[in-house]
Amino acid sequence: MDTGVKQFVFPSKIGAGSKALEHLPFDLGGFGAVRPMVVCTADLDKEGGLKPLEDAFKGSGLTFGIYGMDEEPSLEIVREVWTHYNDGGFDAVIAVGGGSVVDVAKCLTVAAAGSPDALRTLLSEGGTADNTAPFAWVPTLELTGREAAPEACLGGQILHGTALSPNLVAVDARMLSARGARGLAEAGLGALASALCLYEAGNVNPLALPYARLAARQVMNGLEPLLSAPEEKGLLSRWFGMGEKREEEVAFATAMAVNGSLRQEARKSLTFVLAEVLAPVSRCSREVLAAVLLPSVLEYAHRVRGEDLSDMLSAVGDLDLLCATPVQQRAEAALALVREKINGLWLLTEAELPRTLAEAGIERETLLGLCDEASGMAEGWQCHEVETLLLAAYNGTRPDPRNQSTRSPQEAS
Amino acid sequence: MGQFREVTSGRRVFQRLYITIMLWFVGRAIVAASKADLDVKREFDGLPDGLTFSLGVLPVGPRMVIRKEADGKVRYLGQGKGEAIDLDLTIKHMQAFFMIFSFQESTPTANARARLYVDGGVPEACAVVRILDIVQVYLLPKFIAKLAVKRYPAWSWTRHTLVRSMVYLRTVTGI
Repeated sequence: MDTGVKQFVFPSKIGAGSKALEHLPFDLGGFGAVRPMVVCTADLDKEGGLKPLEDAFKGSGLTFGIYGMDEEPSLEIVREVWTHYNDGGFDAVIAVGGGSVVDVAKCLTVAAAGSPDALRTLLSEGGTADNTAPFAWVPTLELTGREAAPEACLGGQILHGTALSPNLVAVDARMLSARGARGLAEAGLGALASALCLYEAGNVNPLALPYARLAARQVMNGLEPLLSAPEEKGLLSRWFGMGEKREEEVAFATAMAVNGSLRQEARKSLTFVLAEVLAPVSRCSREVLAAVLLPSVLEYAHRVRGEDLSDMLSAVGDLDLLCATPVQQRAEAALALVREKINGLWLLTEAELPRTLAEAGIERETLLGLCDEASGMAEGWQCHEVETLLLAAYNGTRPDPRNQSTRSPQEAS
Repeated sequence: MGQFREVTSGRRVFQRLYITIMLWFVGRAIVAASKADLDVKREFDGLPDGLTFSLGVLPVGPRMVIRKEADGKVRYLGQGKGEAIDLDLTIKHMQAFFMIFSFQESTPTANARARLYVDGGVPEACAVVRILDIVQVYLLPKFIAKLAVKRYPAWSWTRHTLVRSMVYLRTVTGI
C-alpha cells in the first residue's frame, strides 16, 4: 500500500579519492574514537597491504590494533577479536577488505557495544542490531557488494539493522588492488541489479533514485575497464604510477559503498524476491540471479505492464546518449544497454557468468514448480505474469504475455 | 587463531619541520604584505579589530597565529600559545598540509576535497584565504604560484617587482 510517505536511510559518510585514508583519524574523532582496531585478512597484513593505512595514521598520534583473520568467520573468531578489543581498550572498528572480513567487523561492533553473548542471542533469536561501536570501512577490490549493506552474515545466520552500515567509508586508490575477474563481476552485477530494480515498479522511491542512478552509472562505466586485461605500461609509467586504472577502481568501489544502502529498497523488488526463491536451486548467488532476472523483469514491466522506464537511460547511459535519444525510445535504449552490459560481462569472464536461468543451472521443471511460491511472495504480481517472465529469463528471450517465447532458444543463441 | 598486533602511529619529522618553517615565513609575509600591498590592506580593513586567526594542522600543530590589533596593525604571534583564537583554520592532517605547502595541491582544491575546516566566521575565513593567495603569489615564482592558486592574477609590472621586493625585504628583516 502506498502511504504517500517515502523514506530512505543513507547512514554512511563516504570519502573517496586522493588521500581519502588520511581523513580517517579526523572523522573517527567525530565519533569520539581515539583508539581504533583494524580487522583485515592475515594475508593482506603479511603482504604489506596495510601500509597506506599505517602511513595515513602517521602524525595523528593515535595507537591502533590490527587483527589479521586467517580462518573462516565464526562466532569464536568474533569472540577472539572482541577479547583483544576489550583488553586493549579500543573504541572503534575499521574493516579493511570485503566479504567475511566486513562481516566479522560488523559483528565485532555489535559485540563491542554490548557483549559477545548479546551477539549470540541476536544471531540465534533474530532481531535488529541497533547499538554498535563506531565503524569505518576501507574497501579493497575483494568485494561482494554486501559490505555497506545494513546486514551481516555469520555462520549462515543473517543479522539486520541500519546500525550495521558503516559510519564511514574511505575509498582510496592505494588500497584497491586487483582481484579475480569473476568475483568482481559478480559484485558489480549485484550492484547493478539492486540499483536498476528500483525502476521496475512505477512508484520508484524518489529519495533512493539519485543513489541508484549514481551506483548504476559508476558500475556501467567502471566494471568493464576493471575486468579487461591491463595495458602494457612503459618504464616511466611504472616508475611514476601512471596509466593505472585508478579512477575506475575508485568509482567502482564508491558505487559499491553507495549500493549498500539500496539493498533494503532492492529487497522489496520483484527481481530480488524471485532471486531469493531461485537461489537455493541454482549454482549462482542471489545477486547474480537478480542480474539475470533484471532485464526480463524490466522488459515485462515496460512492454506488458506499460511502466515508463525512460528515466532509466539517465542511469545507464551518458548525457550525450540521453540527449540524442527521443523520450519515446529511451526505455528501449536503456533496456538494450542493460542486456549488452550483462552479455559483455559474460564475454569478459570467459563464459563463467550466466546470461539466462538455464545457464545458471536451474532446471525448467524446477523453475515451473517454483512459480507458485514466487508469485506468492511477489506483492502485486499475478502467477501467470511471474511464470511468463521466469520463462523469458530461462530462455533469454523477450517476455511474452501469452506465456510463450517470442523467439526460440536456438534463434536467441 | 588470528594475528594481533598493536601499532603506534609514527611521526612525520621532515614534514613537520618543513611546515613549521613555511608557516613562520608565511606568517611574517602576511604582516609584510599588510603594509606593502593595497589589496591585503583592504582585506584586513574589512576584518574586525582584535581578530586573532590561526592556520594550523591537527592534532597538535604546528600553526601560525596572526592578530589584527585595535589600531589596525597586523602582528604575527608565532605559534600563539595561550592566545584566544577567534578564527581557527585547521587542516585535518599533516599530509594534506604538506601537499598544500609543497604546491602539489592548490588551496581551492584542498578546500574542495574537504581538507580544511573552519571554526569561526566563514566571511572572515574567506578573507584569510584570499590574503593567503595574494601572499603566495608574492612569495613564489610564477610557475610554482600557478600551482598554488586557482587563477594567477594579472598584476602590474610595479606590483610584481617593487611591491614584491618590499614584501620580501620586510618578511626577512621584520621591519
